[in-house]
Amino acid sequence: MTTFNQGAASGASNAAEQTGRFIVTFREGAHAQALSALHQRTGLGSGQMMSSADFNDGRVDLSQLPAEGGVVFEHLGMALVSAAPSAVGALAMDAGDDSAILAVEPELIVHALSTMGNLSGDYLRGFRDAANSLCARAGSPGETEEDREAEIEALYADTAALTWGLQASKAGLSAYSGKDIKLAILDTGLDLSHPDFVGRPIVAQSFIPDVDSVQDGHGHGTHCTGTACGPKTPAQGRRYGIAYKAQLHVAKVLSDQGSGADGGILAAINWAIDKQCSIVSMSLGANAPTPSVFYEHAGQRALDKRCLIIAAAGNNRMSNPPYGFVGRPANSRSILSVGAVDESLRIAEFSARDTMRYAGSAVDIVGPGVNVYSSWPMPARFRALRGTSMATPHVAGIAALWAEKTGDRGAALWQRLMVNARVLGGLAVDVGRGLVQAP
Amino acid sequence: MPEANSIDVVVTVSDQHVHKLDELARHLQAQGLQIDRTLRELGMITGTVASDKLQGLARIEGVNAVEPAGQAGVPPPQDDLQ
Repeated sequence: MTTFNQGAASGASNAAEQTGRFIVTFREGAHAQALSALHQRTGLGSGQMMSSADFNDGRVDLSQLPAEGGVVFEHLGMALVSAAPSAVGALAMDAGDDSAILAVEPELIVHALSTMGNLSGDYLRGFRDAANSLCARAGSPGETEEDREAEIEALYADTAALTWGLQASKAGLSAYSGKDIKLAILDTGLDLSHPDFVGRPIVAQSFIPDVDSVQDGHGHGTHCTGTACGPKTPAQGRRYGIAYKAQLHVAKVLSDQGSGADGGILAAINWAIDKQCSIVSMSLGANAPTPSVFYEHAGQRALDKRCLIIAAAGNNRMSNPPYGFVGRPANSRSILSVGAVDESLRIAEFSARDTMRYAGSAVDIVGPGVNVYSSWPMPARFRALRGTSMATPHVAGIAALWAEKTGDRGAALWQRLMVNARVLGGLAVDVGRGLVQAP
Repeated sequence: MPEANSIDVVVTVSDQHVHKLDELARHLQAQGLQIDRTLRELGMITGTVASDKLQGLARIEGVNAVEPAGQAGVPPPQDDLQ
């Protein structure tokens, strides 16, 4: 794909003003090759190119740029250049996803919105409608947040056929099964003797030192696996599982006491990507408000390899300031963070809230997370639990249905879940984009 | 056995160096990292290091970050809030 639009908008009444300079975006990791291509096509060599590192604290002073030449923004992997239009055109012809240069685009003059004089009527009408809609949702002046939260949007209940969560998320009505989609559950393992999983092909690996089997001596992993991948027609009781034909990958990253090291969790993510899993479900976390570089990168590198990581937002909600926070690793911007709602689709009393203190630490979406019935190690067989841990495998199982239906993977699958979520009346810091919905 | 003042760490390798993971692993080892796992798909290396050698690891070219590895977990099975 070539992104180059030299002067195409000139003459149109709403043409953006151009400076005559161009912004060249380098491909990640191809910095040196991009500079060499720039030199080859435009003749601009190191003599004419300045570096943002040449300026104090990286504060580039554009008035110091040569008339023919430019500056490389080292942290952004971009360059701003002035060169003959023919040379820029030649560079733009080479640009694309498989080139060291991703795009060549004209630099535009931007204005603060308040100074723009000629906004179109359509834009202003759209803006007015959006503002009115937000106003209406904000409620009347005397109304408190509690009043609005008390409004019941729906009331679901388990039936003989389906759990309430499979009704509310529409997973129980879906024509899709997650067939051929590889889905990994990173948790305390699975009760391999559970009648609902006996005979099911399972790829399994323990990441707990000195533990070879993924056998679940806790229960949490068996419950989460049940929601994401349990059978369509259990021998006993109602249906509670979503992606019943997904290729189930079980990684034991938490001990039977319910704890595990970050190193083992990362190793399990690495394993899941190596096995070409499209979805990793992690109903686990640490009560740490700050994101880590390694989970941020793990999430991004997984997305780049067509794998979506979904994690529980956490159960630390407080009714008063500071309200709690989304925990690690769900607070990574590259990891989809899941909160929990109850049977009336109100935010669960424990579900973590986005504090907006750290970029990306938002709740992205919510799933059913109160009174969730699913599998439990024998002899109990079934158990109802609550927690963002229970909401997370709803989203993971539904992601497998969307992956099967659309072929979407990685960031595209993330986006698919978001745009199809059911909008809820709750606050965005609690419910994100809304309730996950199956295709 | 790791020393008393040693800590578990995760080394995140920069995008530009992920294809040279083995070379970087050797450098890290030379600077005192006892390697547990090399995670190719993620471009990360986990291991243990004496706390006074932490800064040395962070200065190696190609290392994006060196962070202490923590624990994650879930409540005991008898809790109904998970």
